[in-house]
Amino acid sequence: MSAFSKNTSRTWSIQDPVITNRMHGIIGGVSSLLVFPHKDHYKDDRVEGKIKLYQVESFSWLWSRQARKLINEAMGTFISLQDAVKEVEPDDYKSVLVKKCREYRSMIQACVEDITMCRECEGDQEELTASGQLLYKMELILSLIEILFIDKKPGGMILGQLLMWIRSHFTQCIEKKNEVMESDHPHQHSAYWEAVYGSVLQGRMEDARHMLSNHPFADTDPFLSIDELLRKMPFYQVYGGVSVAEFTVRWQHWQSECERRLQEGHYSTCHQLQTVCKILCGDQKTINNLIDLMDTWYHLMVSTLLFTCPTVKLFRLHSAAQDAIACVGGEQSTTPLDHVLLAAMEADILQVIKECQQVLDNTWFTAHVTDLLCHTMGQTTDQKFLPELRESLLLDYVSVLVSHCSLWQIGILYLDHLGPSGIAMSQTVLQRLPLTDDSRAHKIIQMASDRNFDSVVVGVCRVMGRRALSQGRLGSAIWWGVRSRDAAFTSHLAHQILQKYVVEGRFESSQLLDDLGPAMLLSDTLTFLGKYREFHMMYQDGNFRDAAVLLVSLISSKLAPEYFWPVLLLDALPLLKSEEPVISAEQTYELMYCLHNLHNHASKRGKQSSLENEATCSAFLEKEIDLRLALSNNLARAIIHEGSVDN
Amino acid sequence: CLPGSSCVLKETLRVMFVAKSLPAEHKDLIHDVAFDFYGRRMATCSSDQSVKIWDLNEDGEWVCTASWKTHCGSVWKVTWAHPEFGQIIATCSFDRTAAIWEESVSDSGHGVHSTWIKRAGLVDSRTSVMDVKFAPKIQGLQLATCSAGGVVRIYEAPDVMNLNQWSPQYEMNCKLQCSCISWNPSPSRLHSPLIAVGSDDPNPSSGGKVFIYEFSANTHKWTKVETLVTVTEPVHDLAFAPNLGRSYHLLGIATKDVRIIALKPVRQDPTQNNGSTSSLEVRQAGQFDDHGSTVWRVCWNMTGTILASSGDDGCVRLWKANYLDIWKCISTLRGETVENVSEVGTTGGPSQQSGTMAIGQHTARYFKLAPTAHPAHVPWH
Repeated sequence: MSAFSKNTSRTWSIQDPVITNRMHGIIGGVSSLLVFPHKDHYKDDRVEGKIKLYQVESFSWLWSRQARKLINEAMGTFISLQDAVKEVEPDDYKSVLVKKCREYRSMIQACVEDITMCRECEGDQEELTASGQLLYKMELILSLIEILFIDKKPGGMILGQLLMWIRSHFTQCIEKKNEVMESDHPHQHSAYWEAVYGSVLQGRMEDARHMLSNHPFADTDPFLSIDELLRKMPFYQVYGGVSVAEFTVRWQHWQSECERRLQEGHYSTCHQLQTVCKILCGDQKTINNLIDLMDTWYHLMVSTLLFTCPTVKLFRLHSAAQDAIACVGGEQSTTPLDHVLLAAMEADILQVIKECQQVLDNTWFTAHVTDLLCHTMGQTTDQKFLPELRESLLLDYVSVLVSHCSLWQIGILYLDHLGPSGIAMSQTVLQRLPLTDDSRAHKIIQMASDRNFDSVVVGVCRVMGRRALSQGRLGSAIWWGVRSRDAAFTSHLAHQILQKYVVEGRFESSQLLDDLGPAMLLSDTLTFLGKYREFHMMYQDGNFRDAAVLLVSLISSKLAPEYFWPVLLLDALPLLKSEEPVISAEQTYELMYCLHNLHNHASKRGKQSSLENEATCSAFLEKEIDLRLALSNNLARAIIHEGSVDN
Repeated sequence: CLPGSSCVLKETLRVMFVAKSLPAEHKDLIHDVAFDFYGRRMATCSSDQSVKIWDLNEDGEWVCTASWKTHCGSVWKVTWAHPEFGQIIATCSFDRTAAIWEESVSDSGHGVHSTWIKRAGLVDSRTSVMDVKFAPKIQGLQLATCSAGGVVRIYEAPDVMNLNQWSPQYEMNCKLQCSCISWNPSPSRLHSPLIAVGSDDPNPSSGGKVFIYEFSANTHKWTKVETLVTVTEPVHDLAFAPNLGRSYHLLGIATKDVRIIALKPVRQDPTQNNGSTSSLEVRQAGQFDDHGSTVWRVCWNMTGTILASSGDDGCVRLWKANYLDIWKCISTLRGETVENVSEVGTTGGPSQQSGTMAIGQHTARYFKLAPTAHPAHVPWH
């Protein structure tokens, strides 16, 4: 197991002499690294004052503005793909996947177009060019994967699709043709014949014939002869109703006709037409010589197959690819992109994904391609690694998204489809998102409750409550505390509010306290606070009788913290003094008993209590006489009143 | 560039790292840097006996918002409590104590001012306190310390609203000098709380240098359940990875090399569960001597997918596992002397120039890091 891991990593350097030789790194979040020097450099005067910390972050192309649309749209397609494959009938399975693959391709193409537009007006040209190339590569690879793995045709006939692939990605010959045909004398244009060859090599026979018909000698025998050959070339159609055997017979007949005319010297007067005919005959040397018109080995391969083996099957593609690569200079001259395409032609999925990771810096492509392939190959048994690979690569992609300040929501949507580890990551990410403001907190809570992540919701509320408390916003803190069902915390807050009331004589965020409802039952102190607010409301509404009942029950229930008793008793004073007696004799006894207790407590603690308490106590003692008087008066009135009512 | 033309064959290298620098401001060696739960606050501690708190401002720059003397000796480690308990840090020091600090924010009218108030000093140790770590929030407000004398202590604030009271709950003697401690961050019904303790005792013959303690809910005791006998060299740092749905725990260890150990709780027969602790299946997931020298620090990212290691070779390396759980180095970061790069940028590429620009400037700024090696690709799979 012990090993020096192979030289697979990239090395990056921070150019700072202080940090050389000894530095430590600490990771923050998903991918932010903080590096600090760790050696005794302080004796060296030269570096004095130059000690720095470095925060190093990976920077992805996915952060750029051009990628934003791609990320958003891909998310939509990804989600709908996951839903679709669950519901779809087995017969339609393939067509769904092909449709989704094309959606990915078209969004890449749209992204390329956006970049082309951007380049005309603004931006870092080098950056944009690189983005364009990156996207072009992705689309090129994805469309080949679609042909070879997803949109497999019955009988394994693939040349038609490969030809379309080449035509849509190598458009120079059409551009050249248009340029030539727009000139005054097309046949005198230097690129005339190149455009003809290019069209023929891509099987664009109509284009080639159109060009040839514009030649002044178009009515001569050689031109008419080649026109006939081009017109009659058979193309295999998968659903054309012609069997492979029948097509092969026709095609062989057509090619032997080409060979006959070539040998009989039909085109001896015009060597360019001779070249065209040699292409039609599948003359390898002639086709190879035209490599400059094709640029790449895969174009060469498809063009060669078109005229040598039009019924080629997937499993034969590999050797054709090797031949083509040998023609353009062998393995030495191949690039990572070539390796991807070659691996695809070898039908080696794992290799395709491996190589993709090397060509493309971003995890977008590999994640979505692996997802597509995983669903495609889902039914076959020999690709057991795919589900794990899919999950692993999608998690990598998501971890790029969630480390971005606004893309995290998209990341969460992906995680819903990634099994248990997706759920676990989703919970972690939601918990760890910085709670920059209330709206962000509400957003996170919403997303967490949609997924039944109760612990995340509670956690976010607790943190928000703590923060509100530290900023002195008690009302807001209570609200968060209640949401997080945190009894200890809300008790603490209720005490703070009550103590503030004792000092200031008014309530913080009374509106919120009045709306607590059943939530007040969370803790005793909070219940008391809520009930005490109810008492205030009743009193303000002039509902003295109910207010009195509530007040006495609050006093006798001992729910109130001790420091609050004086306040409650003093609150009773105006009620005791009211014209109509509202406090019954029995309730008066209760109040007297409380006052007695309070008096005893106060005198017992005497000097032990702090100065602050003493102040409130003495303030209370001043009023005590007043209170005792009011109590006895009320008792007398109540007894008389109750007696008269009874009678 | 014409699609399909030769530019397609040209490689583009587009993964890169950007860095921003900030002046350290400490007057002596920095021992530890700790991010808060969200990665938006940072605490640094130093041999100058002070701690500094850094906050990200609106422009994404780190600003030092507090700096104060915390101990009468080098401050070895600093760590943040979960924000659910407030803004709390703990420090430990050569002065044989650990301390708990809480932020108090006041609005003076001239902007918000933050001061850090000492809530408690933990003075039970008779030797230098080498590491301090808060427990996962699910275990309440608990704190573990370990000392050069080999004692691990666990404290708890029974009332989370009152940080002045910390009671010592447990004391375990490792018998070897301790250097580092880590809680298993994801205890659950399937995973009972674990603590890993590392020792930097220099004598290989004293046996394994990593001890795993497990908390039993039945007996309310911490028990040593495992000693990693394969790690006999001094251990300088260790860290449990956040567990995102794995059935096993991952422990990163900094010793003479980088080790990654998987600990799988073995389900016990419930009939035999008479209060005894469960056992752990230990498997080495990776061992790498890429640093070629002593490794001092290991640190996991938030998702437990990337491990950063720092070694005596002056490099910080990032490690990642592929879908087959094979760990590989994915990036290496090194410091370079400026002399290697032309200051006027005649030889350096554009990215190297921007790299040198940051030298000698005190304002934080982003710059691209220059790849030094040939950009060999990263085959993670």
